[in-house]
Amino acid sequence: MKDIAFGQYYPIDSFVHRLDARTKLLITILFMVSVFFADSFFLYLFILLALVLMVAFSKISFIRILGTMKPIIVLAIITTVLNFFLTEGEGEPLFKWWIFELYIEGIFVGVKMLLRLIFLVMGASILTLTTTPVALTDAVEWLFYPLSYLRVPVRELALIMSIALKFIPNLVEEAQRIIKAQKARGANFESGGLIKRAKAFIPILIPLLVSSFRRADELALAMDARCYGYTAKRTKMKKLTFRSRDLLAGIVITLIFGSMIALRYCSGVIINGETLAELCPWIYYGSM
Amino acid sequence: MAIIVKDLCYTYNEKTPFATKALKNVTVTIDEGEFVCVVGHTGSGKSTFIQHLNGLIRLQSGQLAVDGIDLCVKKPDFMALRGKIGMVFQYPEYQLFADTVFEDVAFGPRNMGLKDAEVKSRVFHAIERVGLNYGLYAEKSPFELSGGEKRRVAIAGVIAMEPRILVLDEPTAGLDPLGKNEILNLIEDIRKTVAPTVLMVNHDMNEVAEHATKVMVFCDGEMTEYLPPKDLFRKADYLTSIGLDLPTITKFASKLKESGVDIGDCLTVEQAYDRIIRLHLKDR
Ligand SMILES: Nc1ncnc2c1ncn2[C@@H]1O[C@H](COP(=O)(O)OP(=O)(O)OP(=O)(O)O)[C@@H](O)[C@H]1O
Ligand SMILES: [Mg+2]
Repeated sequence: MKDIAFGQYYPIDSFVHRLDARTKLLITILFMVSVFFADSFFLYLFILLALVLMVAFSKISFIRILGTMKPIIVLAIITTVLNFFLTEGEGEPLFKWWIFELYIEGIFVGVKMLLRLIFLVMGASILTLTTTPVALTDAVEWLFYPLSYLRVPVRELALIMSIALKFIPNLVEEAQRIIKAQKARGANFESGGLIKRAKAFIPILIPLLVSSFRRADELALAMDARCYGYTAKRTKMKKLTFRSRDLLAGIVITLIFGSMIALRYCSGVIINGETLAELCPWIYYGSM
Repeated sequence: MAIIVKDLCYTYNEKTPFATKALKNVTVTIDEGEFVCVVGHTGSGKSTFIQHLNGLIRLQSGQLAVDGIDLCVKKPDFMALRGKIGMVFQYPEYQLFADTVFEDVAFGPRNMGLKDAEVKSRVFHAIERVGLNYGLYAEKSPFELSGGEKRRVAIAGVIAMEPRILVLDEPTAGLDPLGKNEILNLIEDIRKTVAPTVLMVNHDMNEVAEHATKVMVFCDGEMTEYLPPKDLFRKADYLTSIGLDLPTITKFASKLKESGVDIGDCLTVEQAYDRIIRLHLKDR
């Protein structure tokens, strides 16, 4: 059950933990964009390098970060298998059975998609594992601040997000409590067919919903009692500040992804009469 | 012997930065028929201890046997265990889920695989035993009851499984004095009829003094005392030092003693009353 809280803030002290949340948010966005730009195996090495750096400087064990993949394992397997067999390629299929045909292109696409998924989840987990929900919300608010000129209620949206994030651990705790209580009454969540198992969750879901509504009510009341929304400007308890380490981290990451994206678009650059793609085909191996 | 515990240790979130040692070498033997009150400051490990008793928390180290069921083996018989030991959690009303009171109370017995007729009779008796009228309440939605009624229904849901041992985590929390009394009387009644052995976590020393036959004291994960209340409340200094209170009447008696009127150790108002009256009559 603990897995529900995947990617929850992990309170240790490290270089990445101490980075400004905004830096981490921007780096994560850059990371995700780059993952979609990388389309050959060599270019994936750049992503891997960035990831390894991020993991190493966050002092969080690699296993734990990989563990955040658990909830999407099924999704990952399905996507990979579908890509394997649904991608049509040129030339002879490597393998053929009934209506399934496996081409080398399918393997490339499947493996790349799987890597993409893993990288994306890991990148996002590093952000949430090293940043408190409050700091993360502030960073999001900062990022979308320009939208408030278009009368988008950025602050309110950020608040909604922070409340949602803050309530996840509470909800998990509550769920565990209720599961224990129903188990004590002999509830069985492990055996039986699919329908029986789904039914077994009703005694958990209903009390959980009821208590969520109760909590939401109480929170709304408490916010009202403290005059939330009566003043135009709210001040912050912890102000975010950029420091030199943010600059350092930003430069390193930009260099890595910058060179990766540059390489990708330089395939046509002519050096000594030949294009880069012809000179170093390994850079683009696997891209389509 | 209902419950045998030996060197029980438990750590939450082992091997992570969140690790908390919640129980340290708890050793105790609880006899059948005891009304045990479990006391201790917040976070001292009371809830962790009692959740071990019906296997909701898996044993990390130590030994534990409940009513002849050994919990040290690889696959303990949880179904049998949960039929023998009923657990009422803190704020049990928050775990009600069914459309009707009947269905909610029937949840436990049904999980035990009982026949419909048996389920029906158990639900009837459980609802009546907690002091609710079956005819009036059985078909009501549990969500439209008052807080106290909800709690009774939740307790009925546990009693319907007819456990030999009843464990309650702060059953009177958040109730008014009348409601508290009713719940405590209810527990005494259950003790006489269904479950002879009762363990109850409780912070109110007045209630402890009145009902307990034994008190179990937890402090920072260790079980420091297991003795009858009259012996425990003699250790006033110790109790204060670990953040626990004395029953009001015991404090009253010791105040009297300071001013030269010795009425002995008192646990209940009745005791104090008898002795004061006796002293008074003697003086005349
Ligand atoms: N699910 C959990 N995960 C991590 N730590 C926990 C968990 N539950 C309890 N703890 C910790 O274990 C210790 C003992 O907790 P426990 O709930 O047993 O205390 P308690 O005596 O029941 O307290 P209270 O009187 O407040 O109910 C505490 O330090 C608590 O913070
Ligand atoms: Mg507790």
